Amino acid sequence: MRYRVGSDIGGTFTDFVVFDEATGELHLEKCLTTPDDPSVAVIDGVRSLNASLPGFLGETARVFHGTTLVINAVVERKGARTALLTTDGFRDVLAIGSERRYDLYDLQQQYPEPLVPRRLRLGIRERLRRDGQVLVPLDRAQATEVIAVLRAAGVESVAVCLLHAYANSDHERQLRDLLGEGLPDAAVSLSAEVLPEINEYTRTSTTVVNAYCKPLMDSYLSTLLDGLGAEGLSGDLLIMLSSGGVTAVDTARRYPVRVIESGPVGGVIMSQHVKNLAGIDNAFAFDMGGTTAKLCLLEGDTIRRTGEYEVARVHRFKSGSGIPIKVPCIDLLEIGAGGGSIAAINPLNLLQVGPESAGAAPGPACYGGGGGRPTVTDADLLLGYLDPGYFLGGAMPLDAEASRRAIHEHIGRPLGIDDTLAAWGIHDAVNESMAAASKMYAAERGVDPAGLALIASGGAGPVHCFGLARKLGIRRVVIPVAVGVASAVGFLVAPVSYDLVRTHKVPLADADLGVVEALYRELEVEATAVMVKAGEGDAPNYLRSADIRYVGQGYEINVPLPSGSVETLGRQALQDHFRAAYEEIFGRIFQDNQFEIVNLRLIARGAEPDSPVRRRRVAAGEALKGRRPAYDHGQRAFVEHRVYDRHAVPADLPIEGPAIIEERESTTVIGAGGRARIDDHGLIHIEIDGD
Amino acid sequence: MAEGLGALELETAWSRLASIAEEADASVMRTAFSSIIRDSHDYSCAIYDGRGHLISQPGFVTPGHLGGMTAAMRTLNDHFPFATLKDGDVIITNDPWIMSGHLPDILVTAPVFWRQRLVAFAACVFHHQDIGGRLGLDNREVFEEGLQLPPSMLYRQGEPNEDLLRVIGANVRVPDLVVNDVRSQVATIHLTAGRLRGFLEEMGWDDLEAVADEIYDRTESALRRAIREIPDGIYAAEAPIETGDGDGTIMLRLALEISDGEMIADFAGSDGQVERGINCVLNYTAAYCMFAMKSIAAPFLPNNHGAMRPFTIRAPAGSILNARHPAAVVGRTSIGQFIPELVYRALAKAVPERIIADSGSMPLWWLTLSGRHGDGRPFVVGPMFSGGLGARATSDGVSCLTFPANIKNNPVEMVETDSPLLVERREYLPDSGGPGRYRGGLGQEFVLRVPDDETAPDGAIVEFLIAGRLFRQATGLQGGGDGSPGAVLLNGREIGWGQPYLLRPGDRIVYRTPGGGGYGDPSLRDRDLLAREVADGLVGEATAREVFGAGD
Repeated sequence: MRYRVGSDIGGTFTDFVVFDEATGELHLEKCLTTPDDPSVAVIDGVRSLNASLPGFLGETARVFHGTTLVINAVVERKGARTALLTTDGFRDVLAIGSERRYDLYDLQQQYPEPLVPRRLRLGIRERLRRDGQVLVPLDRAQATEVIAVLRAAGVESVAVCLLHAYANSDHERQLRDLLGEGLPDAAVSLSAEVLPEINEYTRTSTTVVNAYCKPLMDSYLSTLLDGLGAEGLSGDLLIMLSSGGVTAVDTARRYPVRVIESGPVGGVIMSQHVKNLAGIDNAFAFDMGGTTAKLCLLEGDTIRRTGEYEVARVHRFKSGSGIPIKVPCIDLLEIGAGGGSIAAINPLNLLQVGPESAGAAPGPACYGGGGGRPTVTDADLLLGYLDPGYFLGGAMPLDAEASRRAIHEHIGRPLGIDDTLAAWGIHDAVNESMAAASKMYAAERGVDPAGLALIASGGAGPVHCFGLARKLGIRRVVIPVAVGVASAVGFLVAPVSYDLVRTHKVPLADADLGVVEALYRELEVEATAVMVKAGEGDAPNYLRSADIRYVGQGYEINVPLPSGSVETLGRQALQDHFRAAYEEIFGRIFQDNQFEIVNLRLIARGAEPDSPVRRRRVAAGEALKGRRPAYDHGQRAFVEHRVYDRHAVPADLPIEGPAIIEERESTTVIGAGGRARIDDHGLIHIEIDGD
Repeated sequence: MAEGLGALELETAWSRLASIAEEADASVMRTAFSSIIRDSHDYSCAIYDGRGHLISQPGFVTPGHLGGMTAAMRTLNDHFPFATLKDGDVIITNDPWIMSGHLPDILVTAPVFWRQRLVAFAACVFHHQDIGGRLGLDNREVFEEGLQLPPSMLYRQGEPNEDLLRVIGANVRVPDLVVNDVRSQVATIHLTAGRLRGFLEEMGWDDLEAVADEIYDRTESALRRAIREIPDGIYAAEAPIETGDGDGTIMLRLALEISDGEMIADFAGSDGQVERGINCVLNYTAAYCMFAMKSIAAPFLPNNHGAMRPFTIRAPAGSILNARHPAAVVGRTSIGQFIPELVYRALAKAVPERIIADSGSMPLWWLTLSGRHGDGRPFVVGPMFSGGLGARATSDGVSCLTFPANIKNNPVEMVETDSPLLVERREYLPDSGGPGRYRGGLGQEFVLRVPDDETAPDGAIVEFLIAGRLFRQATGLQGGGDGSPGAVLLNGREIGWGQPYLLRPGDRIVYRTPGGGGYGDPSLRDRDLLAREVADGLVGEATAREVFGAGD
């Protein structure tokens, strides 16, 4: 098998990367995404790749696939006709939510409509106690009547979320059996399987999102598998998870909620890979596109992850205004700062950039699409960082005069400053707002950003990484290859992995470590089965962790465990380990309290795939394309920047800032005090002098 | 030119200060022990400059906490002169007149030192799950309402005052929860202080004063500009408020003057303080009044010291809105949370598109259930359930939404884990929202049962509800109808709120929260939407026909 294929469905484009293991070549392809049936674009792409690589699918071992299907279905309300079965008396838990206001003062705030309308939210007579004991047995006759109502309503998918089902799943399973009889064509999602954790609202919300997307995901994956099979694929199709792992099609079908959106995930994995290639320990993966910037902390071999997520927010940057789900996700910081972010003077007479964005339409003023408001891209153009004649390799000429007008009218004139300084203000303000958010993100995770490297991708990332690094005290920046399709390339380097959790609530002092060890072993067996299905060997790496808290506390922290058997490790070592983790976060405020184990967690991870980033061939032509004036804030003036063609720069040619390195998808700006070189793999390395 | 760049640096500093406040807020969730803190989020964090002026707050605070804490920072200087404070000192108080108006709210604050100077205060208020005392609104004086903590040193230069913590523990029903939650407050302000020092180091500043003054001045002038958009005048409103004591009411009166960018609220003419636990201290009155005025004038401006300057709030000493010590105050929510209603009614003619109809969630329904598990362990839980928000000029009121308080409900599964109680129902109350072109938000029915099997509690459970709107429902606006009133039924018999009840095994208690008022003529309601609501059981068929005129 000669090829590995990565394919990422994004909002606008569906990207492909075919990696030829024999030659080390990467073949790229982009197709317009087909929202009605996204598999059409995938098959289109495969066919056009076939023109240059005849029959490549027949020689492909694995296709790694990421999709925005789930998040789009929720945002655009295109999921299945879904019903929700709850314990009788709790049909409105989904709609009532947490009852909080997400904005203290806004009297007009709006909330998302529940994914299941009230007429399809129905109560089932049954009741469990907090310990899982049956208080009221499931009323099968009543359940059968309710299922008949769902059948009459044409329900396609059913979410089942009963109170305390995390402690006992028997009633939910019985309902699945009854649904199998009375509504055999409907998909069923049980809360005890999707999210076996206490808190009925979050569990219901997560299970409903799963149910809402399940038929769609199922038919999409069937169509895709059939289509790829018809095109000659005999290898495996693997699906990208929001956690950064990949999994078998079967698992993605059962738990689509774990596949929320893959675009940012692929980019982060690519950054992780580049970080390792460059021999860097810890870094920020930084991606800056048109609307938002995204940041993720990369520490050693691990990508930071979190369990909380919110989709379909009414206000993109207001937490509490969306639909909560709880699934493993990479711990991504999203900042309202991109090339399209609009600059304005706010009511406080301050320059504010973003989070409002001009998007792709009307776009920045310089696109000439009717957007008269100044954006970050307009500022970058006016400052000389972008070449109006070489945007997207010259495919889209930019109107610098339109940028100047917009900046003058909306920023320069009201603030009484000249247009260049106004443009610099915008460029610097967006860097500043990204730096502030990054510092907070780092501080919350106990990390000093100055000790990190910055791996910068996205269309605007390489333009802004130098300024951002300066503000963060970062001395080292790396620009990956193929920044335009970083996500799809990232898929190729993602190891197969799977996460499992088991609630086991016990004070550490009373815990039978033999039982704890046995539970971890069970999780390992279960995870290994999933791994084998995905074509991995039966001996993956296991990463164990535990959610712990002080007895009586309501919130857990996740602590990775040292490798080896818990029993061998012993109680005292665990106690010390937990205490150290706690003190790192909270100081020594609670030292007399006892620890309690709440959840045992396991991540199984397969082998790291070979790197698709191979030695590059330096393109023919002049490395130094020319020179142009661009703004240098140190000198408060435009100074001459040397302009290089990224692909023609030979390995290790020293490039001194101020300089600009251009490629089709992006432009890297290196300020004064920066030194760059391009290595054998084509990565740009920038080193920045201290102040 | 310098001004332009100064503005950039200011923007950065400002957003960093906001982020630090947000981080403080988030850290509480990770350390707190009680359900009222970690689930209901009944706490507020804030950052003050070295003079005690509010500089930054997170998004999720309650108006009462914030206003009370901010007022306390002005007066703490009288008790512990700021110039005498040392690094590592931590101050604690729950004095209702100094702080937010009742004893369960405890303020913990610490001076933040940087380069040997006092540069800021980190502060947070928790509404603790218990503060001892006798539950009931028929208490006559604050002495009956629980433990009083005058401004005291909880830590002196880093050394904890363990005696004080023992005193607190000995006076409350659930000492583990309360004392550990106080420790969680200390953890929060420690974290905040560390972040503030890191921030000053990064900026290379010696203190916050210059940036603080700039923040206040800009906020103030933006707020004054916004207030000038509302026509000048004196706007009056009055309303009788239920006291929970039979059909008793208290009259509140407001004259709201808007004059050249200032708002002056005067509550002269409101009834006098009473021998019942519903009196408001002036801090609390001012907090909810300022909240309401800002929500109309400039909801999206950041809140800080500067946002308070254009507001003046007066209430006669000895009135129910400015009660004198030692009035009983525990249930001040039942009176004080109606202040926004008065403000909105007063401004109904001036800015009809900005105000909302009366809310069924006003006031907060605050329930306390206290007793012992079957094995003798004590518990105190406070399940939260809101009524419906009043309808807006262009959209329905949100069903079951906290307002004007700002807290979350606690999961049913958590209530059942923390207590022996069973929750039988949490469901919308159909037809409870006031009809209108835009409908008032629905209330809910929340039903509790005391088990009588082997999971029964040890002895009786004390039930104590502080609420409102059992007979004075939320009225509609511009032709909109009223929301339904609330109700409380013990074993099918209507009971009120404000007096404690003893619940025995087998008892069943039903809470029906009030609906919000409607906005606009119900006959103008979108017909397709109405049909969907009937199919969803949110509006009854009879109501659709008779009140909304469906089928006409």
